Amino acid sequence: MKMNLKPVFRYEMRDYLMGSWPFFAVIVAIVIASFAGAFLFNGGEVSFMGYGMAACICLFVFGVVEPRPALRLCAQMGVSRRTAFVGNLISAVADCAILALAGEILFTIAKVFAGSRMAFSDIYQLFYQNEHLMEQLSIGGHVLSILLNTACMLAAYCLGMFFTFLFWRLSKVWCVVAAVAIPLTLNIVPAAVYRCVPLARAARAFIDLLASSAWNLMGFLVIVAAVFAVISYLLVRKANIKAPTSK
Amino acid sequence: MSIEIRNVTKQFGDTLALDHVSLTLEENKIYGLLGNNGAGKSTLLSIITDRQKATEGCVLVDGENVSGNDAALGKLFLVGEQNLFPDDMKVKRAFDTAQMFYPNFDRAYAEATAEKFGLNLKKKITALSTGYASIFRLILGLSVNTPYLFFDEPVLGLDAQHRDLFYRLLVEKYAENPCTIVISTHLIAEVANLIEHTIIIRTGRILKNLPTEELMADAFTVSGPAATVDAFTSGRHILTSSTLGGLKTACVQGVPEGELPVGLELSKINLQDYFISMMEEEDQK
Repeated sequence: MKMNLKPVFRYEMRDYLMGSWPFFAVIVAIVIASFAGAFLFNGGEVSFMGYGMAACICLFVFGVVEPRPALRLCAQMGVSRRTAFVGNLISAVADCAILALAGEILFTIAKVFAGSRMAFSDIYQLFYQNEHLMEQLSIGGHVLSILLNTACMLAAYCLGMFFTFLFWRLSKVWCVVAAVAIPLTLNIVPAAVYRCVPLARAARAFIDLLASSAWNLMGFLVIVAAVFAVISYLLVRKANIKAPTSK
Repeated sequence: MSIEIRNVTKQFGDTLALDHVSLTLEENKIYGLLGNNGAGKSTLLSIITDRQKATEGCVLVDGENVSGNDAALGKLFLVGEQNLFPDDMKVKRAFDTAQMFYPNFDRAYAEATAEKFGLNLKKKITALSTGYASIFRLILGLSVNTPYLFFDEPVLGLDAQHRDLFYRLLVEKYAENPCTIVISTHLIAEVANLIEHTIIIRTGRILKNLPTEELMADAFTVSGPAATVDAFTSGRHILTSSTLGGLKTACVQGVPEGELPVGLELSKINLQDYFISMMEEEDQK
């Protein structure tokens, strides 16, 4: 069946961009403040390494807050759950790519101006260029950095979306069970893996694999995003669409 | 061109909200969907518009299954009791959004109607009073120009003047641009003159599904001295009766036959009385 994606994408894209620009404005303000610290007040070397992670947190929050209202609005506007879900996801991917590209441009420009007094690095440099943090990236390096940031943000978005749909569909009792079980699992599983030698070896080998190439990490993040996206869709495909408020 | 509801059942845990409901909503007709609280009216409308999934059965819009079908869903608009718009959305932005999703949305008409009702376009939807929230949704419904339009308790919280204005605008809209309209309401007397076809639903089952005229022709009210009324109605299917002092009024199913005894008064039953009589009869079963 043909999906009426265009209006969903237009609506969602506007919403994401409206949410993203304040985040980016704050990042620009931090960069300007870093410049001020380094140059005006003679503060010496300044480093900024948090853009990718900050953007991931921002996208995680978008994943938590955006999909449910979008689904409700689409139900009111004669669009199916599937189209609403796909349109929302495509918009989120586009937003991730725009934020990754904008960040790369911002920090490339900042590096040119800052010279050796300031260090700007992102997830790609930290993981794959650790010994050359102060150097300018090649064109290929920039492309990899953009793609890696996009994949990280997308995985964070899909994780947020999964949590919002999970807690939407669960009953109150199961919400409490999930709220207790998730942090417990996050604590117990790594500890269990660490104590079990074969598992620890396998985990170490897997981490080495991810660390060996940015493409491996990107592939892993895309798989994580896809898995959470599929589970999220399964959670909402038969959900009753109801209003959060009575008005 | 029609909506076919085929054998739709909806179960919520132990509660059977709809029990094998089958209906056809034909094009360019105004339907009244009547029923007590909890009868399944809102559930039925939610299933037709795919906001809820049926446990069994399906809904076809112009021959296409509505479930997950944007082409079919785009032909429907439900003015419901609930607000499905985002919390921070303003009325103006909601109109922009409706224009994006519904190509036939009449923006000029929506704004003109908002002015008639005194609806502030700059206000957030969630900041509107109950009445104005209803008005906002009614304006959207009147402006989308879809072939099928559903109103679920459309005049909730509206004052008499605004209710009257809404009914007038609805009739005008229908005259200019005929479409299938389904009105689900408890204010039966107010819509009785509008609806061409009546569907009465009770505990998830369709009790009556007839043209309103036919439904009304099939019942009458007789009143007068109790003994004379009893004699006249003897052997007939009495829906309900009430006695006050020595006077009795009875709602009778069927067509009055034979000569009317002296002292009795015969009148046509109105839709609201018919509905109440029917519900009371069902209560006694």
